[in-house]
Amino acid sequence: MKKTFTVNGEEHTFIFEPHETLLSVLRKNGFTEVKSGCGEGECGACLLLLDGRLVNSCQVFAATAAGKKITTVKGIGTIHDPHPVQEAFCDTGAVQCGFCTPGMVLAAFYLLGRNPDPSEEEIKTALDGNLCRCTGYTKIIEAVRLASKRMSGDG
Amino acid sequence: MAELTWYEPETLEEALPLLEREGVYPHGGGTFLLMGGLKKVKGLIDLDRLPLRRFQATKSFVELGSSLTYAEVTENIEKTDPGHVLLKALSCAASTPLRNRITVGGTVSSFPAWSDLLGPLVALEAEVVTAGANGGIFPIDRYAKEPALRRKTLVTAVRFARRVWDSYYHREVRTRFDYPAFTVTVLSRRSEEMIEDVRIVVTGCSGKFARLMPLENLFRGKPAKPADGREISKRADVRFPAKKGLDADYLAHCFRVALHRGLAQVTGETPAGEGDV
Repeated sequence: MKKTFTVNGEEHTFIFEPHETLLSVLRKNGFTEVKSGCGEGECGACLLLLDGRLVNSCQVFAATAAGKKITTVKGIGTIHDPHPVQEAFCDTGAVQCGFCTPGMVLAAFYLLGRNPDPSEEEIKTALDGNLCRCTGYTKIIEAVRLASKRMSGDG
Repeated sequence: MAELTWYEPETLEEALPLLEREGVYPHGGGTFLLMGGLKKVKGLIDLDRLPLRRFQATKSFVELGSSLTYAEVTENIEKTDPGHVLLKALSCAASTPLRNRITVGGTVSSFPAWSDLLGPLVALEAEVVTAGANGGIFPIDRYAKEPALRRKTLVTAVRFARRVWDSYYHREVRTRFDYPAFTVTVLSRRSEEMIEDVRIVVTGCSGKFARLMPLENLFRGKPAKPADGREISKRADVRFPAKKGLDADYLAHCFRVALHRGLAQVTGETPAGEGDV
């Protein structure tokens, strides 16, 4: 199949097999910030935003994502101009091996876009589709709280 | 794997003949297809362009278009009926990103025993609206138990009467993300002195799900007064299959505890909404 995708605001044409997942197609075409983890929708390493909705890209057929707006973690900020969520993850030490981080950052970004001042319980619920095997979540939750404060001009 | 063909119909009229083809299935969110494997799948019908993503709530009924995701259902129901049992059940199903993909139609078409949608829909006495070879409107419990109704047929909507219920929902899980070993749904409506109506449904039991009519009859139309829910819950004749790491007797015990808590809400021993999920 040959289809056009909009990734981080830019149009790309990819050739892929009809059964391939969005995760597979993106990684083959250089978007390796989308991590390949469990492949079953449980770990959240492959999260991205599809038309603004947080989804597991391993659970999306690439064929159904053509023409939709895809945002990876690189689409919300860069190393020179990071998003407050990305900055907060660094500042609080919420990044250890870094494998889960793109998914965690996007889950936090998605949450704060819908709920700028979440409670701890709401943060935990928003991260219910993300697994981290290094930091134990405390720093990650702290990072989301810090990003929330900074984004509301309070931090 | 056989070569897979994608179909992208723009209308229901275009989509329905495609269902007649051997090995061609509808694609809603895709999660069930990706989990179940694609060995027998020759073609997929992308439902994205069809007008099946509507939510309608009138004074008398609620209709969920089959392409609505769990997240879209909860976002809509939160506005029209806060406290609704579907809000409780679907808010804790799977995970945030999966709730953005799993669709009502996908779940109803496959009805996995661990679904958080099945119990509440049975308790709400929902109807499944379908189109295609076996098109029609079917009570949800019949649709769930007769796989023949699902062949070469597309679920277009699920609808149920819009009534105010006190609701209790319990999902038996070891961790939040886990598939529930069973679920208990209890809906009740009381006047000051009388229990007007009760519906009790368990899923994940032998036979996939059961509505506990004899138990409902113990409460329906009776005075609303504290009852021995623990004793009554023991009368529920529900059996469970042994599941991975979970003994059948253990599940039956956990079920009675959950049911007791739900019944305590019916009789007014605990306030509505307390202790559930």
